[in-house]
Amino acid sequence: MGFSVSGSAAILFIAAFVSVGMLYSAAYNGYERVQDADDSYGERVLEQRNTVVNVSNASYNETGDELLTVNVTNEGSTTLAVNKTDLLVDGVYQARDSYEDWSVDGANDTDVWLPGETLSITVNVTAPTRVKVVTSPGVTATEVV
Amino acid sequence: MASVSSSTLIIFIASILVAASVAGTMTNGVQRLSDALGDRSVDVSKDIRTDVEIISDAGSPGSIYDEAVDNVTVLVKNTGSKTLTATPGSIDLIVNGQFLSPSTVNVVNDDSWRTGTVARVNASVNLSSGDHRVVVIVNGDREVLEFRT
Repeated sequence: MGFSVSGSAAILFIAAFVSVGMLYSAAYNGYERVQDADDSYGERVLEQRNTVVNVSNASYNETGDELLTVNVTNEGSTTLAVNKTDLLVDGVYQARDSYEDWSVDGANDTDVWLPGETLSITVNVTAPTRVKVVTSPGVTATEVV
Repeated sequence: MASVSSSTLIIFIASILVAASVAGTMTNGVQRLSDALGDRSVDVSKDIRTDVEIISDAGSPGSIYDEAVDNVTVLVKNTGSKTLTATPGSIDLIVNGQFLSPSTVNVVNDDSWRTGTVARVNASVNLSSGDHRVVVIVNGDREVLEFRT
């Protein structure tokens, strides 16, 4: 009688330990995964809040070469990427390889657009009225030509 | 004396069997729960990492709705930290409360819809002149665009 009680109790204990082990590792892994995603979300929001861009000037050369030049200044405190910045002219996406010319404070062999620097983009479009610049965190600036 | 030991043996075997079946059921249940928890955490982290932004310029509605071919084009930028799938099946589009499946989705300037790239979502719908509301849903992230034709 005594041995059957202790034997079955041992089996149940072992099963309980195994269950707790499985549940704990699964719960901890899941928690960590969600926590990581949440951290990256926090960083993204911080970056978005610290990003400010302003179209300082958008001019269209009507009489001459018919090119539109857009000057955008990074007035925030984050470093932006040129190849993640988009330009829309009258709502139409301008592909990066269709730019006539672009430069960050005169240099076009760089991809970083530091705070305080001005990105200048020249595109060939006919009679533009509105330009919109979209940065990598999703912060936008709009200007009427 | 022999009857006592044989009945003890029978009770012993029965108790071991009962304990083993209880243990089996318990570990099975917990195993299933752990698997579900793992799947759920993957889904939740995917939703948190997904972030999109509609970048279409509502100030130039002619670029959003093309009257000639009854087509709505929305530019959606991936601002999250995860590469998204740019297929009509993975993007939900609601125009004026009506669910639409995008006719084509193509990524501008890239092969896959990575962070920072823009996808062009097209859907054919006939809109009358007036105010319109387009809702784009990607992995549970919902973005609204309002414009006037």
